[in-house]
Amino acid sequence: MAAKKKKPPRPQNQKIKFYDEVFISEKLGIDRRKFHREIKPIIISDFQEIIKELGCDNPDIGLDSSNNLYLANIAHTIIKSTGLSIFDYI
Amino acid sequence: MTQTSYIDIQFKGKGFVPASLSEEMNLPIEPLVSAGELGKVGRYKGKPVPYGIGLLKINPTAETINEYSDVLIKNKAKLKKYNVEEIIFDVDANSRGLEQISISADLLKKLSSLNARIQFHNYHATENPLMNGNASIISSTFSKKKIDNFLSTASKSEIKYLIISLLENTGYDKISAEENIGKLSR
Repeated sequence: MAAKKKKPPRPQNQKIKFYDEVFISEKLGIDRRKFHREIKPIIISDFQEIIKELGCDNPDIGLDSSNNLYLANIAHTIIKSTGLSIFDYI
Repeated sequence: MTQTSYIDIQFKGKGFVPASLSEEMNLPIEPLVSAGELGKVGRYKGKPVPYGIGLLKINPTAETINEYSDVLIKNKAKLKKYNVEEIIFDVDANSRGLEQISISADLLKKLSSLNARIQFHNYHATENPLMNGNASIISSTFSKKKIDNFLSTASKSEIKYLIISLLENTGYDKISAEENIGKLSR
């Protein structure tokens, strides 16, 4: 019998916290306005397929303890991993 | 709106090169990302980016949104020609600035004709340190006087945001927090 493939961890199993722009921009060491204007639009455009799955155009941004970046719908009922760190955006 | 409000028109699309549209329309559209160039950050870092994003900063008033909607409607063919697939009016303002925006039926029709959307971001709520929503940080960092001062000047929506943030930090998800706040205010 073929060995069962190990499933990748579900995002729900990770401790993902959702932060506002002030917190994330402070973490990145940049101005909030720069994050809002120049970084978030790139994050959203980079993951259009995830945005479609979430069913919202302006997702919330979540981070786990390793600063991996997640996108979620407003109710946080759908959470998707981007496979990138928030620090990949500075 | 106040001087600390901002409105950008975001132009996005696969194969979109903002500089070309800027030249064609004679508008100061800043290229954030140009399709085909090597990405500087994120998913396409070091690889050709398939999409483009351009930003047009406009004066933060509802009238300006109206004026630029007219300009864009007149140039719809050019927008299509230069691969603009998405137009977003991004309003980044504090609570007072947002309260002053009124969108007329006429403007809604224009936005619909452009297939554009408006997104609002209330930055005041997030920039005020008291609005970061962590009860222990609030109580240890801010004096009673400062908290009293905030509560006496905050708008209803700011207080609601604060309570929701506090509930979220104690394990509630946003929806449950909002539902419970709704029950309290009935």
